Amino acid sequence: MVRFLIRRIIGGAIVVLVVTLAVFVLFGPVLRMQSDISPARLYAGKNPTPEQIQRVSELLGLDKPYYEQYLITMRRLVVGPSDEEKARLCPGSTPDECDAIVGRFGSSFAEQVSVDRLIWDAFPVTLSLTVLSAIIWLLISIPLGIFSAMRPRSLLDRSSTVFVLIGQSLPVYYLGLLALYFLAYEFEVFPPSGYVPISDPIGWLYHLILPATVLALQFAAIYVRITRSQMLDQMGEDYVRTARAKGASEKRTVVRHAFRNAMLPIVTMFGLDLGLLLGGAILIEVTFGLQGIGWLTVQAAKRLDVPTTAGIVLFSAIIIVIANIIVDLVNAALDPRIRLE
Amino acid sequence: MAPLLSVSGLHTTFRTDDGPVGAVDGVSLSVDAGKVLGVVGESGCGKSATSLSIMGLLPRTATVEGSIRLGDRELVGMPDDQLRALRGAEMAMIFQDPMTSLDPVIRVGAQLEEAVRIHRDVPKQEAREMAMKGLASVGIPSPEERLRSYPFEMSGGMRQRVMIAMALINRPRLLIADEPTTALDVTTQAQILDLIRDLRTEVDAAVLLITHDLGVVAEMCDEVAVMYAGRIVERASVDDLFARPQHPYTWGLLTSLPGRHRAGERLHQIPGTPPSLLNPPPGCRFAPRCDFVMDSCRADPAPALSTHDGTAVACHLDAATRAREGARAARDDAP
Repeated sequence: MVRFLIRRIIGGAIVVLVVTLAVFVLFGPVLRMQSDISPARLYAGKNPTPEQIQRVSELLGLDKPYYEQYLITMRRLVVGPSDEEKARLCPGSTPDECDAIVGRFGSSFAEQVSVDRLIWDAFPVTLSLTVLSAIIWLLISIPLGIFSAMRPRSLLDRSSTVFVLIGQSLPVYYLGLLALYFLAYEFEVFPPSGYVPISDPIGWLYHLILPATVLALQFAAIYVRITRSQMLDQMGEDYVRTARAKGASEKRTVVRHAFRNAMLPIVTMFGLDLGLLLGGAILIEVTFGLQGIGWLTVQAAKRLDVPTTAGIVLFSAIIIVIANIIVDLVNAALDPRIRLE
Repeated sequence: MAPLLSVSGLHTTFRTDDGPVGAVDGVSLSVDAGKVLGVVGESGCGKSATSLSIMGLLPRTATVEGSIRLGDRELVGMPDDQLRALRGAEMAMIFQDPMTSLDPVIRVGAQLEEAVRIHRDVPKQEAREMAMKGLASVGIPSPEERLRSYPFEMSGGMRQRVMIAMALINRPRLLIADEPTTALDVTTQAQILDLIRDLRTEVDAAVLLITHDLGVVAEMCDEVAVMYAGRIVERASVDDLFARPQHPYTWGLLTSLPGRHRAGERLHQIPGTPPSLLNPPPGCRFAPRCDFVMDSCRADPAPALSTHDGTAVACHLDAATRAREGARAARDDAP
């Protein structure tokens, strides 16, 4: 098990390394080739003189060769900004002030603030939205999927098929706008936007329940479908017949045997979806004015804020890699056959 | 004494998109405690449908009519929860494919304990004890360690032993074995058959052995029912079946056995294929493939099972022809 874990972590580290390289190349040299937006120029403010640009270039270390820039970037990512860098970028400020401006992911062009700070401010919003939404969609889809599989072609099964079709074909921003119009604007049941930290749980839930539910409906549709088909497959397996031949009750057969096996691919999909959403649920965050990672991505892209965009891409990649490792571990815990491979 | 299992006039019909399929069409059979009844026939003849009807394990699309009596209880029409209480306790079943018949993600010990605790309110420790004894009784070495194995860590023969231990753990009165050795290699087959025979005597259970292997029948059974296209065509003691087979289908089966032909000679085979059960021919269902077919064979009503010299046979042929042809089919020694 330990060897399994170590192998997965090494694999994940390699993926992250490749992503850093890709991000560096895409947001550095390639971006500069495609346009003449030099980062130095963007930093330097409106209508800068060539001397100003030159000075900013030196300040940011952009005058150094690319490989050296990459090594500096990687070093900063792993161990944090060096003292020399801090001294160069925020002379005369206190360490705390400087930490707010210079971080592992670099500094934003648009604001005098580190990308780290931007991400860590936005992340709780996205995390809250994702977790709450995931709870809702699992609570809807797992029972619905199981019951549909128990009684194929029944009224419940057919209704859930309709639900799946609607859920999959309605885009979240459309469903989101409908929900906002009726539940926030017309009847004022829920607030139209905003986020309240979880330190106020009721306010947190009150502000998040609408976007989380809209997001959950779309995922629930997919999960109902996969749960149903997995359960149908498993219910036809020989070991299910064995369980029945032992005299196991229907509930026991379904829950302890069939669902236990049907869960494996669902867990895999769930882990990957969580990872993906934690990298920012752009449409839903923008629709509901939630200032999470997705919203931050849009802001950064609009302002040509290259370091922030690059930071988010890298951050999302790391989250997805971690999600993958967790999925592998959970699967290994659930399926003894995986542990031996 | 009344037989332990007595099936009469069993009709099992599957609802399909193309119409009803009568997989079992009026089967009657009975088994006494401590005896083995073999049910033979080719694939799709209704052997498995018969056994699943008895266990009540058919899918929802199937309807069962007729009578199935276990001891003094009628199983047809019995409420689900009562039937469930009998399954695994009074009657148990082992299946054809041991590779897929155990839950892949649960330890073998837990699966055995589950079989105990579904029916008996015993402490976990005691169930564990019984599971261990069960594994020991089917000849699995170091049973205590094996309780912690997963099915994928065991061979096919080993898994079938586990299945047998699981089926017998509550000492059922009826054991149904549906082709228990088909998926196993020859040496393992013999071991598993020996095991079933030994345990049958020990537990004094009635055994219904479903097979398509006449060799297995000769070795294991007291009585045999030969099925063709959903019906029993011949029912006899195992000695009579091999010495004086009465039905043309049985003759075909016996003369098709490998080992009964001379070297270099082609194996005998019954021409044609079994009829579709969706739309079976009128009269005797074997008529289209029978060498001795007469006009009366192709018309309803089909010949009924009637008993001659202890053998029940469903055939219009006269006794003299049957005796002559039966002797010809049985000319060589039984396998």
